[in-house]
Amino acid sequence: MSKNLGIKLIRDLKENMVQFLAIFLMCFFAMFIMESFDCVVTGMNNTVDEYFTVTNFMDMNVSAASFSREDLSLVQNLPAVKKAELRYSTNGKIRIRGEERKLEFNFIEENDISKMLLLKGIQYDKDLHGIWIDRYFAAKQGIGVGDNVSLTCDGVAFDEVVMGIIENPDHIYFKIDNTYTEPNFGEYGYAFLDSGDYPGESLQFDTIYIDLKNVTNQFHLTDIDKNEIEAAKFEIQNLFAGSNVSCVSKKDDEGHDSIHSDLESDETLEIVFPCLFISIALLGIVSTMTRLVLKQRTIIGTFKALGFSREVVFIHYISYSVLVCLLGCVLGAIAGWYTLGQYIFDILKLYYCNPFGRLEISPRVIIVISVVLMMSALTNYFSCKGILSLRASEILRPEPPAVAGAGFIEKTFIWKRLSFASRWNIRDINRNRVRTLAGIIGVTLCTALMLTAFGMDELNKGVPNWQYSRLTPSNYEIGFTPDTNYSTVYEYARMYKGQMVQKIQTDINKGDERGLYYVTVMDEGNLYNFQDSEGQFMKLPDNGVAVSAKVMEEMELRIGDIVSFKIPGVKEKYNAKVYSVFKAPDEQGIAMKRSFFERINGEFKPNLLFTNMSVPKRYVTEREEIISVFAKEEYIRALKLKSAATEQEVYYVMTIAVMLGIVVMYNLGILSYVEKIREVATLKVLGFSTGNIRWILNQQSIIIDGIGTIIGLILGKKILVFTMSNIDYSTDFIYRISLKPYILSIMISFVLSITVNAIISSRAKTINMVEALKGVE
Amino acid sequence: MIKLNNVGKIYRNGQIVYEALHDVNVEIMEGELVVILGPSGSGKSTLLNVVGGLDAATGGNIYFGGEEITAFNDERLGKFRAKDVGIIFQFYNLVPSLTAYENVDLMSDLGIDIMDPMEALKLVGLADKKDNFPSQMSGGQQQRIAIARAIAKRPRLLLCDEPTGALDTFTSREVLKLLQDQSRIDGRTVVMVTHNALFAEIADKVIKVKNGTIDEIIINDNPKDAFELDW
Repeated sequence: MSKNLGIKLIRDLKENMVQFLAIFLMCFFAMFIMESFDCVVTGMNNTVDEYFTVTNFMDMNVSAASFSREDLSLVQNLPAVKKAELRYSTNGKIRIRGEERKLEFNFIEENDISKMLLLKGIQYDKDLHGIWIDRYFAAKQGIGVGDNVSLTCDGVAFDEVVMGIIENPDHIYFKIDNTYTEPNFGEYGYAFLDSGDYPGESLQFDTIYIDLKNVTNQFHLTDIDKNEIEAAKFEIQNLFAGSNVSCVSKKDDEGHDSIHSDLESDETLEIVFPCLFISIALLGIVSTMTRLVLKQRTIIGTFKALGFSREVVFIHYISYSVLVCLLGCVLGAIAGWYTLGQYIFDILKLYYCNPFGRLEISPRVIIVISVVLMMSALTNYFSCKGILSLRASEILRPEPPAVAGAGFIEKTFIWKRLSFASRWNIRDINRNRVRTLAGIIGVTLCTALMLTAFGMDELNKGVPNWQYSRLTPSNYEIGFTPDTNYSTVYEYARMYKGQMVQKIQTDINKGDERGLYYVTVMDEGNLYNFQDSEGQFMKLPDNGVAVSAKVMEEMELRIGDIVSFKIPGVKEKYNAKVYSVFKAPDEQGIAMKRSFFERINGEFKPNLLFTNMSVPKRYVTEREEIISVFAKEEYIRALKLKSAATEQEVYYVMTIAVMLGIVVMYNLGILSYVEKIREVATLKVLGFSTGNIRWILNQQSIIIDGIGTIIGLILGKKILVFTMSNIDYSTDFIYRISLKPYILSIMISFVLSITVNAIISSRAKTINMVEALKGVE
Repeated sequence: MIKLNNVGKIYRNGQIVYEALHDVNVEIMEGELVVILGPSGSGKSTLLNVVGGLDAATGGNIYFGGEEITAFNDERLGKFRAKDVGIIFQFYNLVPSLTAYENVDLMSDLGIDIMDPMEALKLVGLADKKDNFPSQMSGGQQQRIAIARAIAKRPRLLLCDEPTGALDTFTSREVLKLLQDQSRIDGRTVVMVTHNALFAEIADKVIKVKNGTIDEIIINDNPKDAFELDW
């Protein structure tokens, strides 16, 4: 661009500071939100991929009480298997400065599958004696390479030298036992030793780690990967049929699953909110830039008359919006990266150990910025083109006012009964349909955005109450080891007046369709309840199963369909008819009465007990059959802790939504007022009072904002349901929100818009009639 | 230099057809100061616009220096205006966000060789206002800047559409003098549209327009000096 046009551009930007600032802020907010989520999702996806590739993360593991070398050979000889390794994992203790800490011991023979990633020290070697300890534990407890540590494993005390500080992909999400509801890295740790260093008498391997031939190491599995894993799983289950063997593929691994679902929820937020923000921003950019270009009609005409080429004029006017949008988008993305993005990343670091973890930029962001720039450039291009297509002499003539025929209302008897204000507004709307539509869309999108944000906040906050006051209102939950027999649990149930429940994770099938879900078998009682999609309590069917809404949707089930499932360690396959649907906040699956399960030859083996009586926490360490004792408060605290991050994200989004709403509405209001300024001045010259004029202007804004708000509430509810139903495949909600989010959304968008318009219309009081009625710029 | 043969201009707006020019035949010689005179709606501005390529004639031919400008496409017309034509508008049409100097220097952005903007400002007597924005100057000063902008590129033809329409008597006289000098001293062809019959006295040729046709062409053998005009 030439020197003088460049100077003009900078001065015009300064002169129209409010409008360009609005465009800048709209781009800034939109990209702030997008980049905040995108940098985390992209960074985590890529780095987990990298971590899994470098460490050859297992494709599957098979666990049982013990595995022999023959078992290993059998697995290794399967055609799908590339390599298999034996491992024994058990919890023990480490003594540090006189204090004992929990440590998970992993005894290995090789280090090729789910390898240790050495951060410091010496690489694992079969001939080396020593221990490799995880970095978080080592850092927090002050352990270094070469230190001598005192350990206790399977009741045997022994000493080892620390050979290395490591991380391991199996422990990306790591809770040492069920006394923890969430990971607490550094408080406990994990360690790897060679099987030769096992301190006990004879080592019984309890897990086989498997690397499959045709499965990639990447974090996001392809359909081919999934099919290969399912086929191998089937073969291995057949290989050990009849034995109590549990087969976990990498996609069902707790860490993999957890990180996957967290990123999925961030991805959903990354799609929904930026889409809304960008739509609003684009609306603002298009309406503002169109008007700004039209405002320079005479100057464009002068340029054309003076002989400037179309290209020079196009480039000049396209530069305005592109420059401002580029600046807004880039700065927004940078701010999003360093604030909300960093915050979300820091929260994720509390839950996941990923040595490669970092924030990354994705092509998506570049594409979205390009789309925003393209849209703004095209807006200006077409606005200029529309003007430049005219002859110079036509451009230099004042633009004739918009013409529109009599509308439908004008032909009815109502017209004559309407006040002047109403008639003026109806005609104004009829003549400026695009402007009116832009106003309605602006308010609609802002309202929808607010309702989505407020609704999300309410639904998230409602989960602890729904789960622990309505569905499982008991004060305590006791977890039993898988091999605890019925009579033992029954004794506890009698002692604590509790309700017994059998809950296991297993494959549920509908024909060839298969998914890993929960099967819940309920004994009599009222401490574990079910609710339908309307939030009404429901009874489980007598002759079949109830299925959670999420599973119904994922497996495309319908009432009356037959589902089948197996219980690990039991040969028999059970078939059941789907009778009803329930809503569950998590642990999606099927549920049935004990009586029905026994009728289809199932053996009721409860592993959970719900009770209102206080259960001592020490049972976990004192009683072999008990693996966990959780008080309701602990669960609620953990849930609130985890949802605190989401809440914070939603607060960020809400704050930005409100700010964006103010910017958009103020901008649209100002633009609309500027277009009416001549008419307002004319009314004033004719003797209309400021009050009358303000009422005319406010009446129109009330109509536009009212329509926009109503449509926004309807749209917002739909977006809310879409967002929450896609946020995480294992999480579900009852999509009923109170009046509060609606009122807040109306308060903010409608009231805000009315207030903004009232402030703008107050300018009628001080309007300079002479200046406003001048025919030239 | 300029020759119009049977030039017509018809405006159509839906069903409404308006004939602004009808069968216009005029010849303008190089270095002449021509005044196009007529009442409002007579077609005088339309005539100026088609001559300057700001509008397209719907009939007939217009020749400029032997070239038929009615055969030019939009791009060629743009180049023609950029190189050969200086335009002065009734409402000056300066770029409000550029200073007096920058408004004149803007012509260099057309990619043509122009005179030093300061020289152009000196010619119109406003060198001291070079850093002023249009909003900081009077109407007369703005029009003089517009003239400086038009003459800075040394055009062969200067078109002026009611150049004093928004000015007072004294300032109008100054502007007319400037335009007259362009013709007398620099030998430029100046075509000026006005509804003020008084201006006919300073012209070499007066073209009277009425209802879209040439009513009369008067050759003025002894044009007055602009300062001699008696308002």
